[in-house]
Amino acid sequence: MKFIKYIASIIVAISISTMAQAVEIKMAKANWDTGYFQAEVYKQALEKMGYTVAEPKAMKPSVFYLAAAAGDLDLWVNGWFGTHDGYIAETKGKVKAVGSVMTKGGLQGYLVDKKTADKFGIKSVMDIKKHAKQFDSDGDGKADMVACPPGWGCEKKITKHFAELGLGDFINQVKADYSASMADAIAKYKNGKSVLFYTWTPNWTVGALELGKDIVWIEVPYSETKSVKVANATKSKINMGFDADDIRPAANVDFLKANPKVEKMLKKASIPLADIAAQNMKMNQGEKSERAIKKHASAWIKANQSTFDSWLK
Amino acid sequence: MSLKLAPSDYEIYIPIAEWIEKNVKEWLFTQRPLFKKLSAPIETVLNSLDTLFNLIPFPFAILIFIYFAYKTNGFKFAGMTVIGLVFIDLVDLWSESMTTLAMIFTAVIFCIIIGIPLGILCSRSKIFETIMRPVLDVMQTIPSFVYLIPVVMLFGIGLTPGVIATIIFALPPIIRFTNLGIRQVGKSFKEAGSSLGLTKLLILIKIEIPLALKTIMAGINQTLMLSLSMVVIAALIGAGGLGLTVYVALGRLDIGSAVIGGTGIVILAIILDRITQKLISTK
Repeated sequence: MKFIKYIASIIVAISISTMAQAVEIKMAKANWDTGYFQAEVYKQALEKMGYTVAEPKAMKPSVFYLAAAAGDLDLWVNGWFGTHDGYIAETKGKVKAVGSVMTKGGLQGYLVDKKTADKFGIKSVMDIKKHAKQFDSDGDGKADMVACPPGWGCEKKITKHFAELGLGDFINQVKADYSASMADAIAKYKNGKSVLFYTWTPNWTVGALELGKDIVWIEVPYSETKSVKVANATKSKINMGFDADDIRPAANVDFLKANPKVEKMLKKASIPLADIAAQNMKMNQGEKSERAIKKHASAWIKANQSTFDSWLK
Repeated sequence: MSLKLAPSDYEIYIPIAEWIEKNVKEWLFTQRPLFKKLSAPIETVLNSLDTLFNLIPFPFAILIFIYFAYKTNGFKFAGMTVIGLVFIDLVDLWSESMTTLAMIFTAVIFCIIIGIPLGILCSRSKIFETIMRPVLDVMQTIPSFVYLIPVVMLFGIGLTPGVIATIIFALPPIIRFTNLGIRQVGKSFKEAGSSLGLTKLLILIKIEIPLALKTIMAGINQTLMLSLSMVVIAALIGAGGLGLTVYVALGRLDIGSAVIGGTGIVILAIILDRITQKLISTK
């Protein structure tokens, strides 16, 4: 009994001490791990400003925007705009994007392994039609493509591609968890099979399968996007089917009103694309534990101390 | 909180995760052709059941269900079964339900094929039982998400890997119950058998298994229920059926489809549970 008493008093003490703490910022982060680094840098910036920040929870966009609109969460720095424009619109003005982590940093598109692309001259997703069998693993005659998981913004875009270009006639979208589907695609590639998948950069997939060496971007002749110069594509200029996204913080509007200092900081802060790419590369090489990512963030802040301090002024 | 008491506060760290990532992952990728072959029997059974269940015309399928429902639980339950199944069809989830049913049947069939012999071995040998116990404990407590990705690396994605993950999850109770059932058979029965000159094998088949059947059936019922609870998780690795409906709906925060898919799973669960429960008590 004495033991239980001790435990109870400890619990009471801890709960009182947490209650007494200052306002806590409820931050979230994306459930793709290439976004963790940015989240950690911003978290440390908020802490330096004197806020207490709870460890960000990882979640998908659909959940974040819903929770942020309801005020259950305050902000995250993993918004992809325009892909997430639809989600912001659904919050009816309760959540807004503010500042910019990096502009035009997020590429998205469809990829094919280079070997198959070279062998069959596949340059565009429309070329898959003639070679659908090459990418077929369930024997229904249609190519299987690792697409975007339900609940991510890209799912809506891909649905539009399929509707406009009639891709559904010769391509099946694999419906499963993205990591699981990609694990399968990588295993297929390592066993000499052809692969077709959607991905985005920065991302771990382009570390497991190297852009330009193992895989290449292919064209998606979607009418709402234009051809742009892209490295490691089947042609020097292709239409990716997606616009390059700006990665931006998104926050609850009331929260920003109550904490103008935070809004000011978010507007000033940004991280160079090259630095994020370098950190993602380290994650590809195995340094991807929470502990390692925290270290990367602290190291980046130290190396860019004057920039970092200027955000907080 | 600034007290430095834990070893990790002093930068002491064992890189097990990194080691596994580096060495085991590559190995898993290379083992795929072998494991694909191993999963061939499961794939065959699964695909034929899936085609068969989806081929049976709706009224005929209902009749089959009514037969079992009526025989085991009587008129009232048969009526409820019909209402449930018609509901599933009316919300356009019939083919998903049949796919789910095929998955569950396949999982249960292979759980029986693997589980009952292992259960018998456990009941024969104290050493084997001691080895199996922690293995079964791990299988029952480890979160299924942990082995989903290795399953994908070895078996790919789709229905078959989904069933394999389900088998891992649902196997333990049948082994435990078979072991328990046979161990509970009274000594006098076995002595009677050996005094009649029966061999050990015959005692097992003619005396022990029949007497343990009730307990074994309870194990099968448990296995069945556990398989059903894996349906949604298996959808993460591309298994279709009702689980996929729920998983996609969850991703899109589409509460309507999630409720309908969930209700479908509940209806199937109740029907299957009641029927197998009664099979136990009548046998």
